[in-house]
Amino acid sequence: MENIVIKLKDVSVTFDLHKENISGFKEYIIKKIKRQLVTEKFNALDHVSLSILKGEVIGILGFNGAGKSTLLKTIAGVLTPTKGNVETYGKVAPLIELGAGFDMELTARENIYLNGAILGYSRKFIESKFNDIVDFAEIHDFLDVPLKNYSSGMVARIGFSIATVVKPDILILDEILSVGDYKFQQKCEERIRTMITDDTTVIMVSHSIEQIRSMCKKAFLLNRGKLISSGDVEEICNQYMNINSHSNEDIKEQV
Amino acid sequence: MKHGMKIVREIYGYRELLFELVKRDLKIKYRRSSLGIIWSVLNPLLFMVITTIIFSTMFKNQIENFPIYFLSGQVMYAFFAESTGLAQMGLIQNGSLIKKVYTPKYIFPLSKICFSLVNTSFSLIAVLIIIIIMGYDLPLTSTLFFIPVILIFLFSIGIGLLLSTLTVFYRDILHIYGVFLSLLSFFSATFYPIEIIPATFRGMVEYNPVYVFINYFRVLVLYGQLPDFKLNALAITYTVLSLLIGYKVYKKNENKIVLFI
Repeated sequence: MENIVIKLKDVSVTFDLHKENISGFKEYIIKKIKRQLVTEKFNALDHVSLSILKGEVIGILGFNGAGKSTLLKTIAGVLTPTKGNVETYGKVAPLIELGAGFDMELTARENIYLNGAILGYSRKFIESKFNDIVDFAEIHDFLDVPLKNYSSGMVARIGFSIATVVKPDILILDEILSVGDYKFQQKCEERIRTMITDDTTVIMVSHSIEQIRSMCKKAFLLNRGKLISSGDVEEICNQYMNINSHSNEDIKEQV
Repeated sequence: MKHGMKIVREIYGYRELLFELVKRDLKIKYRRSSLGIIWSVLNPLLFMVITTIIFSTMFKNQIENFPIYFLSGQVMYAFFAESTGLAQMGLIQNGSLIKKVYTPKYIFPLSKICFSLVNTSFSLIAVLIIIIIMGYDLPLTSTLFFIPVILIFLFSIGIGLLLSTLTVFYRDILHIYGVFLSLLSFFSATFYPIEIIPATFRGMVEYNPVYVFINYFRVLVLYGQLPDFKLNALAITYTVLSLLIGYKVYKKNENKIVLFI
């Protein structure tokens, strides 16, 4: 089993849902004394166990609020599971939001170094890859313009090209292939395809079934924090489309 | 101790990120000003000249070398107030990043404290300029000025970590702390001699951590002596306590921060 790169064992992520939003100390104490602190538990992920092999391309399907993003964030290490544990092997490149950590006051050039550091690359390394990043994002003429003057598509381009300048072992994509114009989307897809052939493990969330079908071999279906089924991408996609029209009760029966 | 070494090694591993974050803050601070980085010396210099002239006329007869007495207090207090004030915002400000990319979260308040340290070293240059202009002879012990600066730096890291963590959960602290800081400035004896405080209340100043570091600095630079055992013990105890409490509170809430930010 040396090929497993991601392993989730009985992972639950529980959020406290405060009925009223308490943001102050005074409010907190008063509510506490009055015993009005109602916290409801919400399981964003509910006892999920799965393992992903090296080089697999996985699509994650599910309705809004099914726990897809939570699952990705847990794998990326941003969220710590309330129960269970997550093991990942190798370098993880999280593309949960392109351009997270950009400072709009800084220029594109400065942001490339800053974002590189956030992702854990050394300055030297970024310097050596600087031209690649700029070429891919096609921003030569605007390198010294503050990012606040960029369009959101351009910002996303820079984000994508920094995050993928290195071949990571695990690439996490959350709904990010829908940014940029058509041409750039194709370029991104192409880059991801080369990564896949290079044995990078890819986990992606997308609402475009077409995209999942064309890129993934395997898929997971999530509903209300539970992993309902996993398997061949065609099968899972069909299952996802079918439950579309049913209520949640039916899903349980199907399982 | 072993645990402490592990943290230091981890911070060292993230030194490039720390460096980039401090650089970002410096760049943004001086962007679009024609004098740029010169402001970092000029600004404290002008401020010092003005306040020194005003306060000198008030306490002229009671304190020898008043400008240096005042400036040493002012620089140390300003460092503590600025660094912890900025650090307090450190986690909240970087919320969107913390939610999306994994980095040790303490890096953000820590970078604010480091940024303040850079500012303070510019202020210290301004102080040196004033000292030279005034023709004041620096005693030999003043070469050790960096000891209280490092101690208050470490002390501020602990407080900054504590504040930034608590502020994520209780935003009120943001407002309370501003008031607290101005209160603290009056209890730090920056511009008045400690003797004017009635003996019954003097302890409140004497055992105020910020005053302890100010006093440490003054003993070295102004009085030409080495700090006695009591002063050393106080300064080190406060530093260690602050780091311990700050780290413990942060560590306990580390995984919850992302849910509240």
